[in-house]
Amino acid sequence: MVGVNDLTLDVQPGITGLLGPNGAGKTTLFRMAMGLTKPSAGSILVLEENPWDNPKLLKRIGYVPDGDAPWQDYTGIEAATHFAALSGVTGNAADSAAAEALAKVGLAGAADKKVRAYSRGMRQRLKFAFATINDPELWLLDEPLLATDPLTRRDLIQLIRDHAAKGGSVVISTHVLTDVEALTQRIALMAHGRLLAHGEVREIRDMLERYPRTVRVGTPNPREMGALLWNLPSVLSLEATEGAVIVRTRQPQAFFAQLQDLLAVKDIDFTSVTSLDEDVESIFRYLVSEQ
Amino acid sequence: MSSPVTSLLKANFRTWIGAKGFWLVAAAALLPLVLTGAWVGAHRADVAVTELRIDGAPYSEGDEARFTAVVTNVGKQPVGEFNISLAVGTVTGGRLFAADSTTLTVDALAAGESREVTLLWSATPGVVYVVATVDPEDNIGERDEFNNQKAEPLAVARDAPDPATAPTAPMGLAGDENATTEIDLVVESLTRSSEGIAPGNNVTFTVTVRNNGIAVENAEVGVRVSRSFAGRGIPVTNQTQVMSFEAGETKTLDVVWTAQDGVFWHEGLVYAPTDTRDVNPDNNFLVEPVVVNPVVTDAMRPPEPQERLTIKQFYLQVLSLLHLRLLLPLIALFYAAGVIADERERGSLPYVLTRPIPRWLIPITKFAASFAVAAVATVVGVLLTYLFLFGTTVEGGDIGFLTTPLLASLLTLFVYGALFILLGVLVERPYLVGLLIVLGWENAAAMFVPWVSNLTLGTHIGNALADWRLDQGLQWVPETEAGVRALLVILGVGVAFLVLASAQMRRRDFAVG
Repeated sequence: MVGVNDLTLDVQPGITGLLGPNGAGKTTLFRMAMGLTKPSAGSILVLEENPWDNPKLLKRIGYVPDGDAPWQDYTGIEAATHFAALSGVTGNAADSAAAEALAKVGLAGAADKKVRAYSRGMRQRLKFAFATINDPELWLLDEPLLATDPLTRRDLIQLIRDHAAKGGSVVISTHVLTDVEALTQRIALMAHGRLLAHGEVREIRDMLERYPRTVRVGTPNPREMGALLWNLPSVLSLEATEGAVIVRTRQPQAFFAQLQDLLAVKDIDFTSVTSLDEDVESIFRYLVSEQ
Repeated sequence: MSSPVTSLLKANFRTWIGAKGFWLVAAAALLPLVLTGAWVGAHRADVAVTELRIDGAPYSEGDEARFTAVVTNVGKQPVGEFNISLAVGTVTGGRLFAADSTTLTVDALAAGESREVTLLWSATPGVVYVVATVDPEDNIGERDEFNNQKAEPLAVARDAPDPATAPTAPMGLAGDENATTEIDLVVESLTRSSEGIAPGNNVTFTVTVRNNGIAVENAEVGVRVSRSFAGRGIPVTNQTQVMSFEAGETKTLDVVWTAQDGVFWHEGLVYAPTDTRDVNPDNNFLVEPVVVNPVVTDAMRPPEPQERLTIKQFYLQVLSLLHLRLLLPLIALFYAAGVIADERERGSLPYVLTRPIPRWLIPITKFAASFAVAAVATVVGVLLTYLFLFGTTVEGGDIGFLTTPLLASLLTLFVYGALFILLGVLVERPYLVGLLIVLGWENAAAMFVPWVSNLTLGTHIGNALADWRLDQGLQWVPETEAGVRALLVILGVGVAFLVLASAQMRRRDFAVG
């Protein structure tokens, strides 16, 4: 099995979104870049250096790994100070670096609370605080916005933007396209351990336009609804099932507009309209099959 | 020390002092003390043989000897029924073979009170020991079990033997009774180089033979020291020589003998040549008793005291069987083995491994923190136990009960800590494997399979400890070849474990998530 193979990611100053479904190899790529995992064959270079057991290089990278925040029996300030010290910030500077980092992520008020007592959003903020300590030039953020509340999400996005604005580089991995769209125009698509595409969001969008989407239209009268929908030019195929009609279309935006018009003029009951494959995995399945 | 190292140390200290570590640390500090204290609590009494008198010595064979033992309760509480045994006998192989003995049963003895026991004995010659033993059945738990026996050697002199028991003259001294040539050889005297002969002395025994008749050729002269057996002399040493005698000539012959304890006979004899006839054969043989009386020497040893568990031995057993063999290895296991597993459990492994710290430093700092905390706990425990046992007065041999346990404990923590650090880096489930090592390999297997024993760390620590001779005073390192070897093995293996752990840490790819 190949986890990550033959991959070069050109990271410019600014934000690069690393987009890929679960299992694409994003986390593995980050772990290799941080010297946590060794390539089973070949090599990996980050900032032109091998990251394995390379303290000098690691000092230049801030990393937000996936998973929960560590050191939960510490208070926020203790955890951050510990992290600062581990990062090579000496003496009292570690205390002030930790306080500053907590303030930056909005945790100054919760500095003396145990990490265990933090909410999910606060823990995510704490992980960000760690990454900012020592002011590293490159941030590698592994699914940093996953399951965050809107407020935390807004603050963290701002933090990422600020870092990029100061000339720093950020690589942020996600499997949710809209997360990346909020941050950057530059994305890389990854699946099965390979880079599928690397470019602007617009180019990716164009690719997605050719992707047939599946929409479920819930209704108590699927046969009647099916007959109506079949007349819409954007519908590629359809299938009437128990309580719903499953429609396939290559022009989802056009289909939704036409459906809206149709439902406005026809007297037919419907219960819901759901896009069944909005998630990135479906998109990637399509892209991979196109390769 | 750089800051990441200090911070790693601090984090590891924190784990130690956390809830998980507290009881083990406390146990390391207090278990030897508590167990020793409990032992002392149950062993507060103390009866001792305070005096052993041998009245009227020296004795000779058949004298009535009188021995008196004084037993005192030197403890701080009264003691119930116990026996006092007073015996006299010979000692062989460290054991007393009693010729006579008496036993007194004491119903009770208050603190400070004494009892006397007397034994009358009709002395028999030889070296004997008079041995007084209090509580020979070991019924009383005592603070000091080494003062329960006193033994004094006693040499009983021999009487001169009955002349009737002397060896008689051998046959054939007179020559040929039909021979025509008549001669007259006489054993004129027997002399010896010293009179008061002690066992081990080299003594020269001489026979003087005079020729009262005509010149004689080929007469055989003999001198010997013998035991008498049914009227015959069985020589223990013997010298013979064929001699020629002019008329009226006197000659001597010597034999040197290393004296032994007992009754012997000095024999002198001369055989008439076979072609002659001694006209007076009765004077061809002389015999005198040689009495070698026993002497007490430095080489003689009293009977060995009964094997009894003393507080020092008890402490040593707690130390070697429980503290060094089980408790400290478990402490080392629970802290050192978590070098990776604990970080993974706390979710901090990806954070620690991606910090600008050389990987080899991670197991070393973990080891240093574990070792330091366990060492402090051990030092406290051993020091408290020592103060409890001996107070603040430092007395010669007793200081060994402080220094040796300390060094042995530190060695144990060092080598097991290093082993479990390596284990923590190597295997996914270090605690389980470590428990199997401590309980299975180091204890159970080593107990039942002899060859395993030599491959355990515990055995080498035990060897080094044995060489420190806990009850023999201040000794900082083992002195014999075996002890030094054991020490070097422990240190070498410990360093090797740490080097391997660091090398593995640099090489290994850990599953962080």
